[in-house]
Amino acid sequence: MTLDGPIRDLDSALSELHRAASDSDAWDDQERRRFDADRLTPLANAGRRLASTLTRAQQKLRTAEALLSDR
Amino acid sequence: MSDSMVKKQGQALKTLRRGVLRYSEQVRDVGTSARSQASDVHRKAEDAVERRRSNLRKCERELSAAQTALAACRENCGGLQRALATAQENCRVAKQQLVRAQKAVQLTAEAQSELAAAHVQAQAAVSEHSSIASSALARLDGMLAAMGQSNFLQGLKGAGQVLVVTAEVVSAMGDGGRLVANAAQALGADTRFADQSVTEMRERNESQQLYHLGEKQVEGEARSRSRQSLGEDPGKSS
Repeated sequence: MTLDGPIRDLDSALSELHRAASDSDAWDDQERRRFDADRLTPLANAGRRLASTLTRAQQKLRTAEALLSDR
Repeated sequence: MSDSMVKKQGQALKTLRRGVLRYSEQVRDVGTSARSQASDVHRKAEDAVERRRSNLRKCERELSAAQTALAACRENCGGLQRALATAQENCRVAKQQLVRAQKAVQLTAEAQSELAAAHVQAQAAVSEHSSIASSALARLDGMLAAMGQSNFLQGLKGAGQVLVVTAEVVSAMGDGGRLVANAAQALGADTRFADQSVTEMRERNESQQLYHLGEKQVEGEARSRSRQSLGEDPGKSS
């Protein structure tokens, strides 16, 4: 189905970012917490907003494809 | 900070940096792929509108012809009436299909527009934050590496001190002791045996040669005085 691949890939990218953040827990001080708040969280949020738009777009495209079928 | 902690944090920074860079690439690729798929569906919708519009025009011509034929009929017009009804139904369906395709074009155009805006926004946010994040992580990694090198050099200085002790132990071996001490000094250890510079090393060698020449001269003079006292010719070598 249209956009299944990109939605899956974006989910995977968000998981990988989360995993990289977990794997790097050896760096754990005030600077790290600021880095997480200033950089990692906005990065993840940008991805989540894109994921939300992808889901809405997928719904519209699915409806469009149904309208185009000859039935 | 201990060496192992420096190493762990360095690894953590590398992991994060790789993760951030990969994430920014994935977001870019996902957005591009999604827009491409939406664009494909939009093109299909536009093609469908063209086909169905063409089909509707054909139906309308056939309907027009059926109406004309029926109007001209005087008797046994049942067939023509049925033909007219069929043409009318075909046109109704064709028009319905065209409207659906036009609705599909509208929906795919909206999806494309929303995806384009979201992709641009996501890329801008990801570019900004991942670029700053990557630079910050690289800078921190560099500082950690320097800290680790400093720890390493501190370790080498410790090794240099070991060499100082070694030089003192082998000092009776003369040149051997100085060679070891020079190596220790190169590692930052302080030793009284080490040469301070090439000039000083040369001067030391030259003064040693002069000393040795002086020794030989003294030996020669002593030998000569000894022969003189024994009544021998001082010029003759023994």
